[in-house]
Amino acid sequence: MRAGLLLSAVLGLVSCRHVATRVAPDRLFGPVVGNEILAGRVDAADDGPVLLLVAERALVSIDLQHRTSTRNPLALADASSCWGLAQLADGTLWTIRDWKTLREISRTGDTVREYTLDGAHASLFSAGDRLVFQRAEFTAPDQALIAGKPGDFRREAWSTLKTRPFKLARTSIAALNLVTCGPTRAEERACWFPDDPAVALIDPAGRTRRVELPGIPHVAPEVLLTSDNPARPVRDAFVDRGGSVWIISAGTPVTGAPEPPGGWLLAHFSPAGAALERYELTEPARLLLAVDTHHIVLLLGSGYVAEVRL
Amino acid sequence: MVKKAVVMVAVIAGFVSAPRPALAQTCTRDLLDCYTRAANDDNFWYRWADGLDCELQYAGCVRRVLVG
Repeated sequence: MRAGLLLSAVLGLVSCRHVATRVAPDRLFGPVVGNEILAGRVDAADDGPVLLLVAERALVSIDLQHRTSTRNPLALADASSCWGLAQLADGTLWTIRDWKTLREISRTGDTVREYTLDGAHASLFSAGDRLVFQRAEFTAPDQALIAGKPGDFRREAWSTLKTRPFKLARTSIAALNLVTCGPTRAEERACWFPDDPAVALIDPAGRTRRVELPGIPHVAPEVLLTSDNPARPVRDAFVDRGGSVWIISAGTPVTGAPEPPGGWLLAHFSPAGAALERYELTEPARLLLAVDTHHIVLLLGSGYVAEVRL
Repeated sequence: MVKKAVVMVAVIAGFVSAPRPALAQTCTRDLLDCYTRAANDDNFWYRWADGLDCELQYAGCVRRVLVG
């Protein structure tokens, strides 16, 4: 009898954890960005600003502590653009201009120096004193990420993450294998592919483990490649101090709501990938800016910085 | 007169309810246009290089949709 009650209580608890609770983010300040492309991000130390590469042409610094933001344009010719943003352990800030040039920029967007890269590169991240690149390759399977120091052409594999083959055109294969990596407050950071309801958790040495995200739907590649506002399984992933993973996923829009960019589902997973919590947001979010126990700071689709207390 | 107005309303309603053009589909259409332009080049090597540029343009376009 007692065992039966205990079992039903445990089952009830488990099922509750999979039911999403609706939460309304409280706007703190902004808007800090418009309905613009977010082409890169850097998360500094705990109290430092979050830096965003916005519209491929401007650096936006968001100071969460003082609730302010500043925007500085990059020095670019009209036809040029930048993608990716990375900060090395020495504090230097880097981006990729026009696919084939590595550029160091200052906090105010000024150009410090440039290096020509050996080919086109699609993404840029960092690991300690090395930059982590994704080459713009159109064949798969292949090494997804490589690491090296600025100005040094020697590269080595970073992580065991491999690009995936699809029975699709070369260009579609390249698109589906674009890697994004999120911020971390632990050893591992989460990286993911646009269609995949899973993350690769990668430590600074490149050791990699795949973690499936139960309850996050897979999106068929052909749907992803033909949608106006694709339902991305993972829009952002933040690894908190305890190593658990918070994600923003497409979720289900509130009926009748306008469609700013962003995901409507905030979900929390253990380091091993067990589903812990699910929250339906009342307005969509684009990025997880800070995660501290049960205090989450989001960049909303409206461009406002907002908090959620869980 | 009334008939004309009804037809007009029906046409406008049709436009409004039509699916919005997909951004990723725009990327694909731009790619095909780019390939067509590249194919018109007489020189094989220029044609090849233009084709690679088309692929990069497409990757950049889709990257904005899937990542940005």
